[in-house]
Amino acid sequence: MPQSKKGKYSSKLSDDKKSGSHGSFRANDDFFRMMVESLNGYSVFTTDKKGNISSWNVGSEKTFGYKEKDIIGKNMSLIFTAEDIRNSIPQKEIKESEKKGKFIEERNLIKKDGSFFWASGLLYPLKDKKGIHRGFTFILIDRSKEKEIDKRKDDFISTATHELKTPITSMRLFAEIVEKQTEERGDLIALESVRELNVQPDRLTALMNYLLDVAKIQQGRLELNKTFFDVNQFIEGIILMVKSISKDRTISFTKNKNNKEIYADKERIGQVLTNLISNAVKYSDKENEIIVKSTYNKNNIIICVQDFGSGIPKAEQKLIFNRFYRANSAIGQHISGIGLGLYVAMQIVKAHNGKIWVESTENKGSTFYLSIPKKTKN
Amino acid sequence: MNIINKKTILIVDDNKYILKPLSLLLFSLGYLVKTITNGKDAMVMQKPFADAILLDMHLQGIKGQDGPDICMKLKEAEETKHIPIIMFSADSNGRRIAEESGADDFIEKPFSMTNLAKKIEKYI
Repeated sequence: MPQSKKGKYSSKLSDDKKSGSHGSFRANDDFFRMMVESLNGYSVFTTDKKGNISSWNVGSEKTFGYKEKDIIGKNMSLIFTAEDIRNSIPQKEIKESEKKGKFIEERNLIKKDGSFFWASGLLYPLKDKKGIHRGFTFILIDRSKEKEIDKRKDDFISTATHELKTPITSMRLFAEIVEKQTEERGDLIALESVRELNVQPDRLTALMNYLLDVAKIQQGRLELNKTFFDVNQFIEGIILMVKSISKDRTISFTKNKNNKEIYADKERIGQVLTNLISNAVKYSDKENEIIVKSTYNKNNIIICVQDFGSGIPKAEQKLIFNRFYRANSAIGQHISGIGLGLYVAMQIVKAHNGKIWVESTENKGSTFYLSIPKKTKN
Repeated sequence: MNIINKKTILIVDDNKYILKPLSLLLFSLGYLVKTITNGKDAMVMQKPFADAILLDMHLQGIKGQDGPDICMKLKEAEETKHIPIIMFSADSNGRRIAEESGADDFIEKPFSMTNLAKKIEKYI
């Protein structure tokens, strides 16, 4: 673990004093120290540009168990899990915060005694008056309790939906018996009703599967079973399936001729693409066609799904990927849904290190893009 | 069809709300149906005569007599190892568990009779 010499903090501070760039700051130094110390429920600490810790408040002592004197000068990677260190997370975080002006921290961090807790907070680049980048400020809070409650909620959803599947199977099988009998008797009205009844278990199942997926994602249990497959064939299959449900729609497909091979979890990516095409069907009029394209760039295989529907206002374009978010237009037009499709899609794509985004103009239509990193077999 | 030519399917499930419609549907498709409602009975049965077995993965009750245990024992025994076993469960990991315990096939709940019938036809 990288470790810098102790006392660097104080020597650095005296350098600043000499330069005089912190004149007004010095006058308020005690006040600020008091303020930071009073935040004893929050861990507030600073590091230099390399991530070596330069200040450590009482809240940090309480949260992590390290005394100020023991940790000053040590690298902040000390509080990260071994796995995160292996994945260069600490470096990535400070880089990201420098690039974007802040980084939102949500992860397990390690205490002095080796136990871990769910930390939530922010990481800011620390700049002096001249705007020169001096290091970083971390503001963290222990959210383990909330995380635990969240986990219990997800476990509950998981168990409840699982338990619901057996009665749904039973309902479905009984409905099938009634359907058969009604068919034999030739009662058309009853037959139509019972067929309708028999579709409902499928809807319920789809809904439950979404809830189960969300629970899995929340618990970080979304497992991928990646294989190589032909992206064109795969898209054709999905289009055929959507067409079998929405028979009156025109869905065209432009294949890509090179780079046909994709490395992904076929079932999960199929779920994403089905969602995108079904949305295109849902949010555009019958007479408008839907265009699916398979393309690629240097590093990615890209699939586009374009519709000529009502479009999505700019302000909503990012929000539609949030959990339980439903576009105003969808609510206004009474289009059914629970606001989980795109959220789940985004999580699946993220798990593939891919990207999903939308380009849309109101009243003209939307194009959803799905991009998955290329991988060669060798 | 002559009753002698009819194929027999054994269903092992502790839930009568699955057992009943499943039996009725399989019967209407021309199968003879036998049912067992718990793992214990399935284990006592020395020669579960059947052309195929539908086995619920999660049977209530005694340890060592859950679906996978029964499946493994049936697949180990000389008299029964040839009988195709289709396991079913609401668990999405069910397929893996079914494979590990030697089942010939798996179907996830909720399933439709059409899908189940297709699977059965594959084996008998």
